[in-house]
Amino acid sequence: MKKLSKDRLLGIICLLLTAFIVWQTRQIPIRSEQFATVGPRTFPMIAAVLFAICGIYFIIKKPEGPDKVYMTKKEFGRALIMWGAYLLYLALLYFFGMKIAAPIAVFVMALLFGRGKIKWWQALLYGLIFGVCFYLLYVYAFKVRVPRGIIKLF
Amino acid sequence: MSEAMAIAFAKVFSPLGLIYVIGGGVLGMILGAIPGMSGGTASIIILPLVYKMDPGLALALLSAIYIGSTSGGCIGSILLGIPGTGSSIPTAWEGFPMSKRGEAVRALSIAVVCNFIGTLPGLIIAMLVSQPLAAIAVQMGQWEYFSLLLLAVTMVVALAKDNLGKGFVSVALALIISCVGTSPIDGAARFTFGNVYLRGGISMIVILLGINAGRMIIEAYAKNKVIDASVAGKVSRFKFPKEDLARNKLNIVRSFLIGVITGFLPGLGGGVASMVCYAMEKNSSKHPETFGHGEPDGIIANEVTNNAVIGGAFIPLVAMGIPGSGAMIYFITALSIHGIGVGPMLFREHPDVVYLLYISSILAAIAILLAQTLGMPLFPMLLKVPAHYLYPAIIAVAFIGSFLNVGNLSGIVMSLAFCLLGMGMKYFEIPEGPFMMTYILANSMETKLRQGLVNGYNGFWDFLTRPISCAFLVLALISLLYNLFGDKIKAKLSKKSAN
Repeated sequence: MKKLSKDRLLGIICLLLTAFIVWQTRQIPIRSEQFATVGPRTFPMIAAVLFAICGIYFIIKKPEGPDKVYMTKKEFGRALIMWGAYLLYLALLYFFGMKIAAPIAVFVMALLFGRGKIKWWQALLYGLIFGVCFYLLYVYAFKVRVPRGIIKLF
Repeated sequence: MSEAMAIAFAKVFSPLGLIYVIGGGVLGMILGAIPGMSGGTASIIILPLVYKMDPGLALALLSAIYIGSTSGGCIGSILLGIPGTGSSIPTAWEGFPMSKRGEAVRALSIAVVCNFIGTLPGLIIAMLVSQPLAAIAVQMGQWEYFSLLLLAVTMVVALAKDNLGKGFVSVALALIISCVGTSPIDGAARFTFGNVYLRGGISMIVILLGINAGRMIIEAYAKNKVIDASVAGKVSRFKFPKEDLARNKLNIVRSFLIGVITGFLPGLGGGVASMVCYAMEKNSSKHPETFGHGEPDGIIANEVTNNAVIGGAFIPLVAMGIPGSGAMIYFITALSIHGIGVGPMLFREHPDVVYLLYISSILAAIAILLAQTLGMPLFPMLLKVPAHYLYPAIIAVAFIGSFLNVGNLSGIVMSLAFCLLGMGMKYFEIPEGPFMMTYILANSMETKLRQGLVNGYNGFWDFLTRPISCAFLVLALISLLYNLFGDKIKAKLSKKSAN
């Protein structure tokens, strides 16, 4: 089966988005007759029209040579790992708050970026020092409210 | 006016003001020097903390970072051959070969002086021009303002010159995301899917942290972008490039004017200006063959122009609330956090903030000149900051920024989603520039359009029958048609003249 070009795929996504936006836009309440012609539905409809025109254009347009590669499979896998590290940071913030989440997240990401160039204890030490400085700076110097987490360990 | 200026002076020269301006300038310079990073990253991280700052001083800090980053971009370009910022690409073409043949100090000295030559007069021009322009702009009604914003958006689409279709996809994406939350004027809930966290809309900061900072670091990890900083050799002290500057008076004036004008036009920014100036200097040179092999004239053209853009970009921001370059988005966002709307009324309602922006920018330019001339031997050190320490710290700070901006963890969830959207946009080669610009203008556009229709008597006709509004719409149409068919017309004309 012939592989779908990136532009055609984008065209299909644009048309799907058009359908979704039109469907959702029709559910936006109009509170006054004054807003029947131009109201809260106007801008989403403009976006839908733009998506529709672009979608049709990309579907009928002839592909210009092979698609440019954004990331290889291997690179994409690594991107997912880093995004997973972000997710881990979010989960740690939710459960334990910034005090614990920041040092652990920085430790994990420093190990990932280090790729063997730094030892695990160096990454851990960096994570701890960073975490303490970061917490003190935000809580005591900037006096901002930071995530505290639902599980309070200390 | 004098009272506002006195307040601005007092704030800038207060201990905190000086720390913001000098510290911000140096931080911007360091981040601008590191390839792959930019002052934009620092600005994005600082934005969530802006609500704790005085609005004027917040702008001073952002401005110092912006100027420092633009000036620092030349360091990585000259010493490593890798541009620190997009507008430093021609500097890398000329500066790195000079560096390889042992002229790194000459190249850096030229760049440092030209940064200042571009920045300072540009800021003074902006200071002089923006007030009269704001006085004119303040007389515009909703109709003229909407048409002007529409013109800005059509010009921003030109950023996607290689693929206008994708530029329009970028605009459409920004329009639909800007609709999330409650609509202006009547407050109808749109695209919230019953989720209480979406009712307030999606903050620009959350988007910037996801699409820029989050995605950039994912890409750096995935693509294993390792910078070989060992290429940067030792650098000795600054030497004033008297002869190089004396030879290039015309080049400097021309590059400066192009920079200011390009900065004034919405969305074009330093990247476009530097390419135009570099090409002009090369074409007008008596020895174009030396370009690309370490030609100081190319560095002069590029560094003057990309710094002149700073002053040019301030003019539409202060006078009309339109971002002249991508970095201006941070300024608009910072002011909006304090409930200050940018636009023609800014000068009238908050003159102290405007003067503070200009005075701090001038001070930042001087501070950066001093830091670069005195600290030149330390430049190679700036390039050796290890990614495995820098990037994790940025992400840790950035995501807390999302939390602070929204007030709960939904900000981080949204940033994570925008991180994926940013990668999707890169995958499909959808440019970010039109997205950011349209997103920052979309709410004003919608409000002005609807106000115009509510307050007018002839519906859409009012936009065409008012002369200034009509002129903006005609220009928007011309800009759109030029973007769509300009290249084809040019190709046809050149074919005809060849025949």
